[in-house]
Amino acid sequence: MFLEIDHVTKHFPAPDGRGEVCVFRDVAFGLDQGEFLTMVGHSGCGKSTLLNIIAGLERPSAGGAVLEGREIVGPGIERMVVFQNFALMPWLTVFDNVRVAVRAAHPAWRGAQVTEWVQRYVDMVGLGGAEQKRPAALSGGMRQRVGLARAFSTEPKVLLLDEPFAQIDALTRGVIHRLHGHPRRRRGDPALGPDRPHDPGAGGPAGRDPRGQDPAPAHPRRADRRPGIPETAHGYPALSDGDDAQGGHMDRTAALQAIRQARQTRGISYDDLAKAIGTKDATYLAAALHGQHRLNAEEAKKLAAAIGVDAETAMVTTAMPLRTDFPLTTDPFKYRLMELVGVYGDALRDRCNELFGDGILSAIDCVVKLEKKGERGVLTIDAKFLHYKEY
Amino acid sequence: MGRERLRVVCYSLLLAVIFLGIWQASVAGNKPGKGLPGPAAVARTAVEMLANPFYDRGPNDKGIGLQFLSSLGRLAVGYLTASATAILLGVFLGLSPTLYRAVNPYVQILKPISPLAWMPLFLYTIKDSGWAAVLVIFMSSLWPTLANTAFGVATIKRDYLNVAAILQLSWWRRLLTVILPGAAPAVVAGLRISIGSAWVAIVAAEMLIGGTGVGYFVWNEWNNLQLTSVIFAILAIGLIGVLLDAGLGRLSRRLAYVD
Repeated sequence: MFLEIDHVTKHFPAPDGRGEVCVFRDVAFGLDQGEFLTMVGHSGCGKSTLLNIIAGLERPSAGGAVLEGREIVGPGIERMVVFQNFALMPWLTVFDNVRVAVRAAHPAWRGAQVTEWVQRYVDMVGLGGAEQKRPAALSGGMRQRVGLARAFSTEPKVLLLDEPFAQIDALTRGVIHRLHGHPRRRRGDPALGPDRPHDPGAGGPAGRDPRGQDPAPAHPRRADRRPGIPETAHGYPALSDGDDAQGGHMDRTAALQAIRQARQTRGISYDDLAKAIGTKDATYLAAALHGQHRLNAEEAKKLAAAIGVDAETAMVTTAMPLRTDFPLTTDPFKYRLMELVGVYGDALRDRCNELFGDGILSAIDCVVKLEKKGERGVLTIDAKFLHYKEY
Repeated sequence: MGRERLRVVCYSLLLAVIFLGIWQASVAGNKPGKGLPGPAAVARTAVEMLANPFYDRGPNDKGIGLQFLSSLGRLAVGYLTASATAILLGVFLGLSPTLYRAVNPYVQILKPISPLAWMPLFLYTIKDSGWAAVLVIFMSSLWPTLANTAFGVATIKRDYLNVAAILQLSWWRRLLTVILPGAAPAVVAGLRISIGSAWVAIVAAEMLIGGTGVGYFVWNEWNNLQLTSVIFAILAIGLIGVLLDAGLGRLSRRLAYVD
């Protein structure tokens, strides 16, 4: 195991000063290089605490986290954290915020080398031209991208993301792809991030598809791939494709195709369509029309009216996203960070509800793990270390 | 200039004119050389003194410029060493709540002591009046900066320190990139209070030690019953105090940051 969470227990002093409160007990799981893991749970269940323990910012009450055979006893630059509120130094410019990290990661580098490296990452997150701005002059999404650039620029072994999609904007999402695909990135580094279960249905920012406007033509490789059912460990049924049985896929694919066709023949742009339906984001809408995200029933109705297909056909856009497997390309870390939490967000939420029922109050509700199995990524929902907490 | 600003300036000038008018009127009946001098007399002295501020005719007759330079020199040495000491100590106290609580009672006792009260001790121990005055400045400008630095460092957001810890910055780098800039607004606020109290203390200290400096100048002119010089020196002291404070005000605007 590359990273091992070995029966970690965490107590905090109780708020009333008497005794201790157990946040979680005996959490145990492991991650290999290249794996990606998301912790899902309601707020206050200890996701960030566990993340901080791995970061070395907090010590566990019992057990320990082990990275490459060595116990984590303190913070280290090989485990970079993207903080929930980004934690950019407000007195430093965008450039200097990244530079501090690069200099720390490469103390032997000369000035020009550092500058070049910093500039590369600043450009990569699309903040070229804003280098000399202070964080206060940036939007939330831009700040987050500085935080991402800072974390990625050190090429950490483990990347820890604390609610990384709280402020996400469309640009940031593209950025994560670019950073992950960066040729100089070390391969096979795991990433971890807690994320709350997503709001159901449409409109949630995490639900938008990361690949942009019209992914199908741009990715011919995908065209011949049959939408599949994902495998899951522990004999769980596959992350659902909604109500569709496997045989239903062709119908759904055909229906989606008909919808796209109708849009094209009528010459309605995604932007106009988004306006007509009342969603904010055309990218997200495009994803929905490719079965990569879902609309709610209301939106589907408006969609039907806008492009003149019958309501029943339009309802396919309300089913679970189609793409539940994804080809693994050369770099295992290219696992689509966004796909996991974005496209799968709803699936995860539903799955969690199914597993635990609605009103669960547990420690970390589940750990969602993405690992490589042959040519496919496999999503695992692991709930074996759960400990229920009475409130 | 905005309308509001114009109005402010007008009122200010009006107040000055009224004050000078009352002053001039109240001394109008005095015979020359008797009673309090009026603003016109003070102005004449001012012109005279500023015409040749740097002459030096022996220990008891130096230009006002030289006197101020010598005071500012003392201030610089005492204030800068005190500030460096206070900031360094403040950082340690700010970083360690335990240390802070251990040291705090002593700081509280030392803080309200007039810096001039130390003068006899300094004179006795170092036996040099010039350095004793510098030490008085040191004592007067130590506490506000120390207290503010400790506060500023202690209230730096945990996140920034966490980032520094994750990046495994060396102690110095952490100090320079995170702790000092993070605490800078509070530190400069302390420095601003300190320079005010140092400037207040220097005049009194120089009255005691004699020799050179604006405090000695004031006392010397009083002994010579040159009240116009005394009044002019008082105004000049105030003016220089304003300039010192404005300089630090500028610094504080530059170091301010929005969280």
